[in-house]
Amino acid sequence: MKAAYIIAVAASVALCVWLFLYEEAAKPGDLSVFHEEIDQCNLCHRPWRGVSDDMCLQCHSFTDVSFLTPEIRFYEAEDYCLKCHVEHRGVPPGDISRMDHTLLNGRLMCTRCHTDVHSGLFDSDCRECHGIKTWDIPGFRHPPQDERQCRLCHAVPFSHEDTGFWKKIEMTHERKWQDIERKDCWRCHTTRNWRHLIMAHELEKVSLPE
Amino acid sequence: MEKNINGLLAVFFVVLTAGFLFHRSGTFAGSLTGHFIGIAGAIMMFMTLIYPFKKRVLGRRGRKNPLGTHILYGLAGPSLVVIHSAQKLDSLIGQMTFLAMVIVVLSGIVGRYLFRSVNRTLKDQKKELEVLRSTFEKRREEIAACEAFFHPERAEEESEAIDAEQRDRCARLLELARSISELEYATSFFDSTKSMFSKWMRVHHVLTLFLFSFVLLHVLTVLYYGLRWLP
Repeated sequence: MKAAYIIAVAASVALCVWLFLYEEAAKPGDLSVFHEEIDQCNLCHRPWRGVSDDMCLQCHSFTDVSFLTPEIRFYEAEDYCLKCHVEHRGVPPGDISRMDHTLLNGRLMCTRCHTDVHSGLFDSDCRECHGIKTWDIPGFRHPPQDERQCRLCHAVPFSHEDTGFWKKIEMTHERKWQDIERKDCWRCHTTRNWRHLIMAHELEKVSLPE
Repeated sequence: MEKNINGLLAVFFVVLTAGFLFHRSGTFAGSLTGHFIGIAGAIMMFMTLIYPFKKRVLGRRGRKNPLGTHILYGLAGPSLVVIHSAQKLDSLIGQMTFLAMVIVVLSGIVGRYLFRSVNRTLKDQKKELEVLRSTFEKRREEIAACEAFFHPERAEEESEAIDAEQRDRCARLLELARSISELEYATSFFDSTKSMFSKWMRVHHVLTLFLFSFVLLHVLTVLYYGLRWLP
């Protein structure tokens, strides 16, 4: 029986040595698309010391950001790339930035970094409805399409202000659309998804101006 | 102790399964908190080795070296390790360590419950067998008197020689002998099951050996490639 234990010890040691030398075995997740070409761990990791700013700066360089206000120059405050940029996350692909919004100054305008999809209809304090963890609003249910009150929350996007856009609609739909109220989103869009449009045969059911 | 073990057993399985629904994180394991939980779990897992060390090296058995402590560390440690992993098992080493840990814990649970029940049954049966054998030994001289009863072909000739009382006594003796025979068969079956479990113990030991090798390898690779929270 001692022989069995000796074989087990030898097998586990051999397996561990192989796993240690096989770099892929320690990979904690796929690299983002920006770094997927890197196939050697030591390009970013220094043995026993890990990843340092110096390793990042071998390929990256900071541009002059003095024009930014101090509260959004995060890297200066942290002085450590990995504090915000995390690799080997795999999912979501391409996302290597991890913002800790709790570190932000509460007075900082969200629209400094984020696009206001409501075009100012709800003021600028996104936190009031969205919080800082997710864009989803807990418990929010979109009003039904029949209410046709889209304009209360949604503004007309820039693309719909362009006359070229409407001419294209005219050509494809063979109808006069100049009189359509731009804010009547419900005429073409469904509440399921902005990109999900009411198709031509369904449009007949919707009362359109002649 | 028994309540603690059952409670921890439940905690382990809840953490193991519910974690997949409520505690999945890609970055928790490598965070400062995640590492501390992982280190605490690993220390507890290594503390399970105190039991075999005392048993094999110091020769302490029974109350001087309770198995309960081994089980407590063997459940609390892996529970913390499951929390540390945050159900993110992307690296091959991480997967192998996690898998080995779950197998070792499950083999320990199987051993604890099945081995104990087999052992108890075997002990009870042996006690009973001893009682029956001593009773049989006391009545051994009666066997000769029951010769006619035990051999029915001769009984026809000598049936009149055995009275009703004697017949009853012989029947009880025969029943006693049958009980002993049945119990001996059952004891030999449980004995072989017990010896099978002693082989299982070795499997548990070998699996544990692999587990601790993987744990050490996991710690080594984490240190080699660098701690994320250490600038």
